Amino acid sequence: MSAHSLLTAFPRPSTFASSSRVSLSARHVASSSTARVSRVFSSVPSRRAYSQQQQTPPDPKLNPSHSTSSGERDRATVGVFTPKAAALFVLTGAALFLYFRNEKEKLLEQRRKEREDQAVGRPQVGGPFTLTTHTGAPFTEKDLLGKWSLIYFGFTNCPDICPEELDKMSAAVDKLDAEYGAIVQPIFISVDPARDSVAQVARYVAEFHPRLVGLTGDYATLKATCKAYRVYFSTPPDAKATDDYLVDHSIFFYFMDPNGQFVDAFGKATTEAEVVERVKKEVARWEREYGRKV
Amino acid sequence: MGWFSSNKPAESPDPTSRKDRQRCWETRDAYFACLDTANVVKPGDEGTACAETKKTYERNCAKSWVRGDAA
Repeated sequence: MSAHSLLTAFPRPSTFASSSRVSLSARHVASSSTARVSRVFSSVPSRRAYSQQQQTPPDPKLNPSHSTSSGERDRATVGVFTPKAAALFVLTGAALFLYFRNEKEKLLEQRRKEREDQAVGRPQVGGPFTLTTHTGAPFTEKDLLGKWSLIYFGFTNCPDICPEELDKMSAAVDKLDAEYGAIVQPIFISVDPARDSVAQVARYVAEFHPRLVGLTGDYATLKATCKAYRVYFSTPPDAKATDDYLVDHSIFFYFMDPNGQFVDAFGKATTEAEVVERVKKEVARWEREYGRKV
Repeated sequence: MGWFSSNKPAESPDPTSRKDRQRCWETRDAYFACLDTANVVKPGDEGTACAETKKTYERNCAKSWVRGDAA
């Protein structure tokens, strides 16, 4: 392999004009010692390598004036578009492209997360109410403020779904208590005014969670409360306390924030772990926004 | 515990009591298990095959729970 072929085999951003110099230095190298060939071979195939080669005096075959004019002509032909500039241009372009693609992905991800959390804005769930707790004290929507709450609507004569859901809710509250302290208030609201007296509700809630508040009231109040909370129940207005009947009703429980605003609803399919996860996520968001957990 | 004193749970099961609910579910499961062994798909078609477990079940659960009807 001759020195000439070695040189031209180098990949380089060559232009037609610079080829004259390549052949020049190749000619020069060919006439020099093998040591110099290896130096050319190992050097970076850039303009600098060639100019360095050109500067090696004294070589009688080379005319210094010819060399200078060749260099100027190269520069004039190539202009400012040197390999260095080209590399810088490509690098900057690539970096900008990657940066903006990354930024766009971040934005899309953020929007997706927001959509996921608040599917279509906040539903109009909740409103003013005045009910009686299982201890006989009044309880209004104002008592929901300053705490997260989980609210379940049911009735004490409920065969199995209500106890199961209340057990799930209580277990979730226990987990959250362990994590944050008592910042989540579990609440049970009766949909069976005829049979669910204060005493009956008191007996009922005692077996679920020590902090579970049981609320009841007369038919009109409960109906109005349930309407505000978009809860359906089938108890007839004229039912008697001694009647033996079941109540058809909505069985999800609500998750409300410390402003008493609706956050989410959990159905029978939602597991206890999912409830805990959801509440934790919301508490974390609240903390980021307000600097406190409630 | 008032009227629903738990010394006579068999006569008047208290739905607010976890223990009474549990007993109702257990007797129901026992009755259904009996139906399964008798190859009965629909409760009521078994004749006198599971009379004993059925009686226990009905005694330990509210009538509405047994009927499964809504008001």
